[in-house]
Amino acid sequence: MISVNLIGELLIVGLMLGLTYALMSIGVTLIYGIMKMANFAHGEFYMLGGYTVFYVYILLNLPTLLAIPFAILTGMLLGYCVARFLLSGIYEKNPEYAGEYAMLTTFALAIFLQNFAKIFFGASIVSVPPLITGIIKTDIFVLSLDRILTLFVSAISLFGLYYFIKKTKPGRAWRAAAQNKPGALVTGVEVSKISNMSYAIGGGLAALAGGLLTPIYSVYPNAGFWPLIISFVAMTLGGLGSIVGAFIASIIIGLTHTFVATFIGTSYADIAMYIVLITVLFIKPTGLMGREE
Amino acid sequence: MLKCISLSKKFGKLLALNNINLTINDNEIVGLIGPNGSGKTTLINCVTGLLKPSSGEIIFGGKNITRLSPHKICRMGISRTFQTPRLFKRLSVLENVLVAAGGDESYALQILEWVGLLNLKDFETGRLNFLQIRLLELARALASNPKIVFIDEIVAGLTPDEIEKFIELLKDIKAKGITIVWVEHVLKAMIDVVERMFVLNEGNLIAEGKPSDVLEREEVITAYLGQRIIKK
Repeated sequence: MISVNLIGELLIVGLMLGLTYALMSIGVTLIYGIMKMANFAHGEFYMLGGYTVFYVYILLNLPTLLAIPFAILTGMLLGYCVARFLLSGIYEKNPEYAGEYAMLTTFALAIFLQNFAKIFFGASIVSVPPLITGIIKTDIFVLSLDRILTLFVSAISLFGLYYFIKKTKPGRAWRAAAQNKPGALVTGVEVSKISNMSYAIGGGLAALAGGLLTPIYSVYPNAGFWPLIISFVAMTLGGLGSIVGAFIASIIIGLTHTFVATFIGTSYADIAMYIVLITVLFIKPTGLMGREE
Repeated sequence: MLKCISLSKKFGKLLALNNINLTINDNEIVGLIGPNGSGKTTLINCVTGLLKPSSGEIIFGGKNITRLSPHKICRMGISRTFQTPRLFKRLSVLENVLVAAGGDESYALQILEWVGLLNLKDFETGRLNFLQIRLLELARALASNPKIVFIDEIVAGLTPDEIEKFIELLKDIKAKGITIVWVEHVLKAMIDVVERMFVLNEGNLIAEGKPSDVLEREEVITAYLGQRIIKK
């Protein structure tokens, strides 16, 4: 018998997973929208976020929760440096094919960072304690507090980003740059700065996701591969470049993963995700929120 | 106010602009004409920083702007419209102008009223019709407070009445003390409006002067109608 309690718990866990996927996929979408390239190094920001939490916990002896801001900072700082010193030159000197070259550069960066992690952090799996211990018990569900906290931290971060993009003056310039680069350039928008910032924010969000999920899934040098795939699937499912689409797709994938893993089997969770993707693309080739130009 | 000195632009082996020298004066309204592929838009792209010239210099208000990035050139007071509209399709009409106006809402509304798009300010730009798109392009180009504005084929495909409206708007712009460089493939619309005219052909500046004089010249007629027809 499937109880109401179980459904309630699965909904919350699915939502939590979906929100952390959204942290990843919205970053990828943001970078795609402005820089017109798929960021293959996105998973490595996730992985480094996880390791940052691990090392802050080990070296500074701080609780996991307080290590999270360090993860965000690491992701943003590294993201900014990568964009500023590795990618911006490509966009400046080879604007016509910049997206293609930048994409391959991030692919190389991903391989470099994985091997960097293997050498400096070791190839084995490392774990950290939960963000917070304890459980929350209501009539509908029993859940550990760290899941709930992960859900809230993700939701607040995503809302902050949404507010920034939709409601602020720099956010408007971001949308303008994503929608028409030449149009933005000649109306005084500094697109190169926006590119660097979007990559930094994408990196920060991925590192946040890594920091939040490492207490649950642990971290290892290749830990970023799986979240990378999910972000690409969510971005495609939602419609390339659509932030709202990536958000909705992430929640769908999070719920699909959770329910399929529970009722059918863990090994079917990813298969179910791809079935959803293929079905949606079959019906609507531009993804859920994508528009035909 | 704007000076191009020996300006050249190569795309591979193709010489899109060949050693262009021209000067545009304060508060002038000049025409820039030429057949398709003559280099008109390339010239605008070089001046606005979207393309880097292969050689030569662009001087604006006494400053060398040849290698500056487009947003800096815009902030110095050069703006433009695009022949193929480059609006922000998913932003509202007002937001499109706000991006260029640096967020100054009352100024943005004023400009929208001037081009007659105020009642559409919350409309999604991607759903505008052809004429409205052209008007918004012009509004956005004005919103960044330019000293000189390049108008790239804004009346192509419009009806005579609509063209008349644009001519009135261009006269308004000039009355505000702004210099206008009007690029057009269709000559008829601009002859009575512009004070001087430049003619480009295959990347070369082949004529400049008063519209009536320029259009009499044989090399201009040849460029437009083709060599063989003239010889017959």
